[in-house]
Amino acid sequence: MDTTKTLFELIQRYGTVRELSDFLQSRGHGGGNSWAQLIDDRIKPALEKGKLSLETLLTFLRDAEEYGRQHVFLFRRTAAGNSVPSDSNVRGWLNSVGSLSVMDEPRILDLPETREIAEVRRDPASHSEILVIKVIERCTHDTLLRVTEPDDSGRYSKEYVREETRAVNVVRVHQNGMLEFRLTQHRGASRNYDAELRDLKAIVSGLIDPATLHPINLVKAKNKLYEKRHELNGTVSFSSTHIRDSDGVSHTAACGGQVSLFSFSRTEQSIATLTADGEAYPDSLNVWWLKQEQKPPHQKIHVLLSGADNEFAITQQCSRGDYEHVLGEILRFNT
Amino acid sequence: MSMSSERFSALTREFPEESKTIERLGEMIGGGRRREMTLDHLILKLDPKSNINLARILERLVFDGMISRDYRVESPGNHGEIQKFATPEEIPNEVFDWHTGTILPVTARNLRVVYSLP
Repeated sequence: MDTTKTLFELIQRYGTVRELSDFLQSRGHGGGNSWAQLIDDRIKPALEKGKLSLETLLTFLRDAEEYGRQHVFLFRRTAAGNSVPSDSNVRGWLNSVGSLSVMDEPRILDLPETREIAEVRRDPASHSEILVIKVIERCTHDTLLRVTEPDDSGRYSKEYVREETRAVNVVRVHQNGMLEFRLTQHRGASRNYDAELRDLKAIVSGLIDPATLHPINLVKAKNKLYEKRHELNGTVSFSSTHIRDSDGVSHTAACGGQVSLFSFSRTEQSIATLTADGEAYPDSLNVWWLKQEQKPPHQKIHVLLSGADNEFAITQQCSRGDYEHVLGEILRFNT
Repeated sequence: MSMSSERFSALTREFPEESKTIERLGEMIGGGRRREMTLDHLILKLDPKSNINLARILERLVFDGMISRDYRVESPGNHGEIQKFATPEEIPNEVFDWHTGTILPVTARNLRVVYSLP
């Protein structure tokens, strides 16, 4: 399939008409109310006249596909000097894995046969830069359609439908030594990302030695979010928590997503009693960063602080700005 | 000088930057209350300079028999203990999760390391 057609398909899959319309309008190409209008009447003529480039459209796709619906694993790299590998190191590594071309020309891939490095780039950050490595993967997801009745011999069968899905996995290397390994969330019930994390580490191991990576434990972030639960009213809402105490007893409290767990006085009182003397702590939290006016997040963002010590998940697609806000807040609370 | 105070002094010499952590840990161990704690809980209680240092200190104390370390298999729904194992080699591939009445494959997700402090 040609690159432009693939790019259009991916933009429609990951973006919305509104987002693309705003994106095009902000660049002086006019907006629209449908995909057909935006692609046929706005993008194609602008591409033909050279007023719009595929690279510009790729920036839209990046923002649409790289943030949210991911499990994020944070690491600290213990290496001397700048943690962001130099251009020559990156080129040497890409050359060794046969992907040197992505440095200058990102690959626009839908469902590659094998896991592929699609892009390596440097994103600006405040007073620094971030190295971004994007890996695209074809995944399969089986959904049970029906189970037949047992026949006379007791045999029965289950019928599944297999769907192919696209995983966009991202590694970001920060100058301060922090690394994010971001894995597309599973569609099924599995909460285990160990294999995918191992695979992603293996892919970049020629550039970043896994032995130099130490997980960033997020227990302080969970504890501080919990301790500041009243102060955060209107900013963060809590839907569930699992409290673990020093007797080896686990306590779980959960409510719906439209209310905050700690707005119920009996629940608040019970959990506060458990944690008062430091003999119990929040081992996991299910929270929402609430939409704010004139500042991020610009939509309500659902975050799971659970799983591995260094793991959190954003369960919905979100903008880069909202992702950076949530990541920044988690790191701020983790000190 | 008792064996435990000698041990804590030796740990302080080995990890001088963690002297406060070791002091607090000593108070907890001799505090007369038995506790079962994860590394995360100990990080919050002791506030070490380095989590890796704390893990090393705990392993030294496990080696000396002053505390014990177990591998706790938990039910995924309520995190209740199913069974504890003293070594990784003892952990089976599957356990019967009596909290839910189902067979549970043991993975890193339902396994927690816990330290028992006398």
